[in-house]
Amino acid sequence: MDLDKALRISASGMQAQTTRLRVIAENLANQDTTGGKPGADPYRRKTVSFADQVDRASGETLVRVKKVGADKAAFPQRYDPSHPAADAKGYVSTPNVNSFVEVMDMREAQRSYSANLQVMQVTRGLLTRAIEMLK
Amino acid sequence: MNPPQIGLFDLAEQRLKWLGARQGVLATNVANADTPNWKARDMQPFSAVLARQTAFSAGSPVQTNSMHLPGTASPIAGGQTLRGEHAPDGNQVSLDQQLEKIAQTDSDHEAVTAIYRRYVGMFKEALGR
Repeated sequence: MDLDKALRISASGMQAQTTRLRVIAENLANQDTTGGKPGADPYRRKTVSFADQVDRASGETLVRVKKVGADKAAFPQRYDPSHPAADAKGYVSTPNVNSFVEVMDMREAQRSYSANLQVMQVTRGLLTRAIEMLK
Repeated sequence: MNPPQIGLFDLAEQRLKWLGARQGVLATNVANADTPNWKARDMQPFSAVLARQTAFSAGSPVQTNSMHLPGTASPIAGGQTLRGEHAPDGNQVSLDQQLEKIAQTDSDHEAVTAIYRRYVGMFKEALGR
């Protein structure tokens, strides 16, 4: 039934946004994670990309997380010779996470999530009303 | 199908089916609101679907002579490709637009079910129940 499909599609959208939010949480939590050894790489920012996916059994166009990739941007360097991860010249590589970018991304994920939730609520309303026609 | 034979039940059923399908299409748009290169989709208007199935347009005046003035404004073309903002990743879904359409679908659905129930109520009345 079409309305069940709509519910499943909205659920897939919410799931994809949840994964996105999880990755944002990882990025924010690790925004100060440097390498353990001298010259080692710090935490590299993760990125999420979405893709549409046709479910063959039902013909629904769902959404899924296509790939959790890595941000290839260079690591910012900071001069701190006393740091355990400092290289021979005294520079430490810090994670390429920008908390402003992450927070903006989080807002967007939140908006998309609540849009999907709204659609789900409306769909539920349609279903309820259709069932009430039996009375 | 013959126009006079179309019962209100049939019409309501078709309309509800169409609204359900549209809700599915709009849900897909919202779910893919962050998918690169996704273009918003929509259904053909119900009047067009009905006209194709029954060779008459629901409730609207029919032009029986080309010299007659058209009774209604010309229908909106297609509705498949939507002009709107264009994200850098090629996504063309405007959440506002989609949610507005969903609200429209919701209220249409409410109207159809209300009419349906009233119609059933009339039957009950006639049957004395």
